[in-house]
Amino acid sequence: MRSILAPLSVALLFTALTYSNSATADDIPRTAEGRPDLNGIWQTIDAHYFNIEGHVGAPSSILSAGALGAVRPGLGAVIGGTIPYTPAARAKQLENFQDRHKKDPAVKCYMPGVPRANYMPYPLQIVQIPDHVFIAYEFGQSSRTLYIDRPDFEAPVDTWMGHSLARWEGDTLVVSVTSQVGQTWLDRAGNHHTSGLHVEERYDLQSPYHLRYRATLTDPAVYEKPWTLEVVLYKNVHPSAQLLDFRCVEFVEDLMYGHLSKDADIEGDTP
Amino acid sequence: MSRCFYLTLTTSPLLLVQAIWILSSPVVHAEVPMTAWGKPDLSGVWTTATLTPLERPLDVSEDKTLTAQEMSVMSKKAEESLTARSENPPPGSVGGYNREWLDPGMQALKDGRTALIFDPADGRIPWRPDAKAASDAQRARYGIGPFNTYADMDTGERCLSDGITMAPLQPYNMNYQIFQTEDYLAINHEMYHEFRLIPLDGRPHIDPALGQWLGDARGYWEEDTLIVVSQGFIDKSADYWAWPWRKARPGLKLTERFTRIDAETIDYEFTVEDADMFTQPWSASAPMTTDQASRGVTAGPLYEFACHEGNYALPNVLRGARLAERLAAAGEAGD
Repeated sequence: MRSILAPLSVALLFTALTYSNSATADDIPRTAEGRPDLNGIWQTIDAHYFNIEGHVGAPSSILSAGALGAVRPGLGAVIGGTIPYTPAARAKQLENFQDRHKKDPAVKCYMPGVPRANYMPYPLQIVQIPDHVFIAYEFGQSSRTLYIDRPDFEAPVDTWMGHSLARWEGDTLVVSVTSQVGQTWLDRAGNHHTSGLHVEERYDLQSPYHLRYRATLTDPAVYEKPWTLEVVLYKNVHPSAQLLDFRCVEFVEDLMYGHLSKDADIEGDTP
Repeated sequence: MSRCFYLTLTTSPLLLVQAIWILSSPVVHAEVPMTAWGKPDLSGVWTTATLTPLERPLDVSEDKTLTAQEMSVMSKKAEESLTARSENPPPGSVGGYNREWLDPGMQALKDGRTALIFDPADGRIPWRPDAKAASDAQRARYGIGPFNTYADMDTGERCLSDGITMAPLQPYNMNYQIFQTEDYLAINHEMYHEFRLIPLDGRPHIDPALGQWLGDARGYWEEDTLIVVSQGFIDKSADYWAWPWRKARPGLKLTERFTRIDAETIDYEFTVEDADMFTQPWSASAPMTTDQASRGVTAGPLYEFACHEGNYALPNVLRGARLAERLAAAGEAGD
């Protein structure tokens, strides 16, 4: 009995702590329309960008990068611990992992997609107006426009950053993200999806400085059931904080096109 | 509304007073949307696309105003030109962008102005001779080569940037979405999905040594006009730019003025300063409209322009150049 109750009490304590940290309706900044004010520069501090599943520290796969290129350990963002892949999809993830420096589309500075863009180790800035939310990501000048209360606005084409239709459910901004291309990854560990992915994002402002971000991913082609990840975004409160250029396209041109130069003697990987 | 146009009409003291008033304060109509904090609301999807050229053609006099008939002919010729591009290319040519892809402005500005530049009055960029020669040399090799490396491609072909201003110089993607809060103006450019995040809170510029591709921008309100000053540009002078005056380089200063004059229009003006390139600062007016159809471009929200992700042209141009070299070498060996 005792062995059953102990983990249960820990779980209850965790739940209580989680919700005691939730803001009351009066604790958060609000817009003129009374919505939670999400404006600001935000960033995670966790190591989810390496792997959204829990992982231990590991050496860099690029020998010369040494400790600076090593994998930061992380508890993981996936609720329940692991992504419920189909066996074939898990095999593909492991294959991706083995060849991640070649296959990860972010290596080529391709737009990272959703949800990955929200927990990369680069800041994002939310610019919120009554009928739209613009999210600008420092990584590669990628961005998204969230259309509020336009449920009938169909995506004209598939895109790298998806088609984002948003609505407010009380104080939670809920975003339905569809029509993403299938090429993006979820992290550097090869976690993946198809173009059939549906992401439901939930943004909850928990204090003026903490934004809880949850994303539920549904993609029957690769996941046996929907699953959810949760991360916390922290507000950069430095008065001079601003996004700077991280236009990584120019950083990858040698990698992608160098071997096509006249008298080239290096290898490359073009699209 | 072109301010130089008003000046050319000024012949009486009364009109002169009117002209001075117009110069100092664009006409803002009652239907201008306002924010909750009392500023004109610039938010929305806008285009600057137009057939009206940035520079006045050399054979057009300063006091010329286009007639409706002349503007109609301009549109007709533009459509014929685009249609011709949609025909199958001749054998041996891969062709280029066709009508399906291109989305340029198809209408001249309704006031009949003959150039967007209004200062200097001749409607021409006031180049220093040496800078003009360098610019002409750059532009002459656009699409010609040689293509020894990717750096021989223009910054646009590399999916990096076309440089400063929202002047309508591109054959497509001249759409911009503005998101305005009390503290920030965000401008999402459809071209290359560049965005600008412009603080309006009075903070100082960052160290200019931390150069940025589109400069470090700060905005402030002067009555109903939002003024955005950009400086601290990164030095990309060594790159190849299709429009050299738009390139990022130290010494450049860009001042933009946004005045929403009615429900559909922002009077967008910009002034470019660079003593190394120009004999004087110069200014242009490129009105932005929410009525995209009135300019002949595709109406609706911005698309995601995944330029880099689909940049097959750049490596294929380089592959073609390498193949041409091998064929030439083989030909010489065979001689």
